[in-house]
Amino acid sequence: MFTVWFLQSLVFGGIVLCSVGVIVLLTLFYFDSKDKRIW
Amino acid sequence: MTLTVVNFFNLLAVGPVLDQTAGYVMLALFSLVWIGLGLWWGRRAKSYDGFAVAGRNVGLALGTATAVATWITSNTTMMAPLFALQLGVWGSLAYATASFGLFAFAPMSGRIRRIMPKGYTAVEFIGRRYGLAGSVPFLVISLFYALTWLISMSMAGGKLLLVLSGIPYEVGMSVVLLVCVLYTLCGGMYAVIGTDFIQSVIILVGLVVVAVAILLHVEIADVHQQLSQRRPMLLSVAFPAALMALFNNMLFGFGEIFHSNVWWSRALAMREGVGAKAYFLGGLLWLPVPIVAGFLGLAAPALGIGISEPDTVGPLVAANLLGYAGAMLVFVVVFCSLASSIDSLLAATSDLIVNDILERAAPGAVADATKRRWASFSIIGLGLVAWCVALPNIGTLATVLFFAGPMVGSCIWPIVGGLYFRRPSPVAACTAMVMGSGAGLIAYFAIDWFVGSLVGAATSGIVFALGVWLAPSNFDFQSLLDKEQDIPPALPLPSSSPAGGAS
Repeated sequence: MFTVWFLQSLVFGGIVLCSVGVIVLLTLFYFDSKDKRIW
Repeated sequence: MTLTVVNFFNLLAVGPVLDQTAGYVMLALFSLVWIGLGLWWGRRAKSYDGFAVAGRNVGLALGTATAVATWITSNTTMMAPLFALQLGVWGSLAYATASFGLFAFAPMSGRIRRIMPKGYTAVEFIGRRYGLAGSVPFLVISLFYALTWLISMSMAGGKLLLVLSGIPYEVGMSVVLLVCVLYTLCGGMYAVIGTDFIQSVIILVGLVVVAVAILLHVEIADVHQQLSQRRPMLLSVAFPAALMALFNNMLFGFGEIFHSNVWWSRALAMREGVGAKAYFLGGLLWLPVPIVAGFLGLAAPALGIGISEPDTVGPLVAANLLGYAGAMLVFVVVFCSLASSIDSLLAATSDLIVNDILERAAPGAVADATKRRWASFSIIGLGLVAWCVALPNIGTLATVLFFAGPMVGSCIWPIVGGLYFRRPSPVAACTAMVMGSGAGLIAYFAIDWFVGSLVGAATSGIVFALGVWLAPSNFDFQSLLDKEQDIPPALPLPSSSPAGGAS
């Protein structure tokens, strides 16, 4: 049986990764815009 | 990711979580935004190169976002909770393995960009690599997959808007499809990739908000305890069907991404050196989405939310915890998930029609403006076909998409072998695709859905290896570049201005 610890790691890890994903996308967009390299 | 464990379209009647007026307002608002953005970005899409591959200069931010958004379909956000509810923790993990396809495609995208820098489609590569013997079955599989995915997404649009807000199926399906056709028609790949960025941010933020709201109401330890008491199988490490689903999903994902022009056209649209990073990052950002969405399904019993209608478990949980705001958030997330997949399919499939059917049939070189016009007509045509087939709302039609699992699974080895090795021959590729598809479909009907892609990919791999051994080739990859140089560029009209450049 999967442990509580494993389930917690999955869920918290997933939420953190989704949040980091948003930050990464916005950061990349900022740098691409700054360098005029969006398109 | 398009695979689901159940017939997605057997959505049962359930009261909408939003009222109809709010649904119409949200629908109108987002429709106007996407069409406006399509028109705005459409100013760049004057040439065919701009329209089909966004000027081949897409940067890392938009490249990453488009990989994430396109792979998040309405199934990912709506069905992942159901997957978890039926197959437990393994169900979430099985769904998440679809991201491995993006990781594996990362190095392939760089190679695709290098060996055919002026190319447009996956079928074009298979045609140059394996000739007619390879391109015919591959084109058939590609069109079958693209059309069934497009139709099933259109049907999903109608069904989901009905379930979420009570908007009649015909109206919801028609509006979602029309909006996607209009903005893809206006802006081509520029609009598709640009809107994908906004959609991916909205989807990720929406999921985080809903998941955090759940965690404010319930402890994960309580979820675990409830599951271990009521449905211990969902926490079981040894859950045979779920384990089979894991490998099947992974192979279906590989097949879907490796063969589909949705992904090839993006690889060709990205700036040199960007593709591999964008697909790898895209996989990393997509990986947690089914896990977080799946948690909605696992948490439902602990929250005391009745699961009489399992297909709607995600929206029900969100609406219960966040009230009206939660329901609106789910509406937006689902609408973005649908649009990001439908627009990609329209653009990528029109590339197949223009480059691999119409241009090949045309005598002599085709003018740039003519290809641009053909692309517009084919997008309208695809939209009309999808609308006509989706309108009668025949649930069994959607299950046809699942036949694509064995078929795309059988394309994995011919594509990878053809991209990296000289010895794979047209005979090996053709027989692998045909026999792999056949064996996979037999397994699908004789056993069950969760072995179709496994059998298809395994048979195709064995046949392909035997074919390469018995009838090897000695392909010269330089000829791909030489052929590109031989192909006369589409004839530009004096009035057409080049697309692309820094924004």
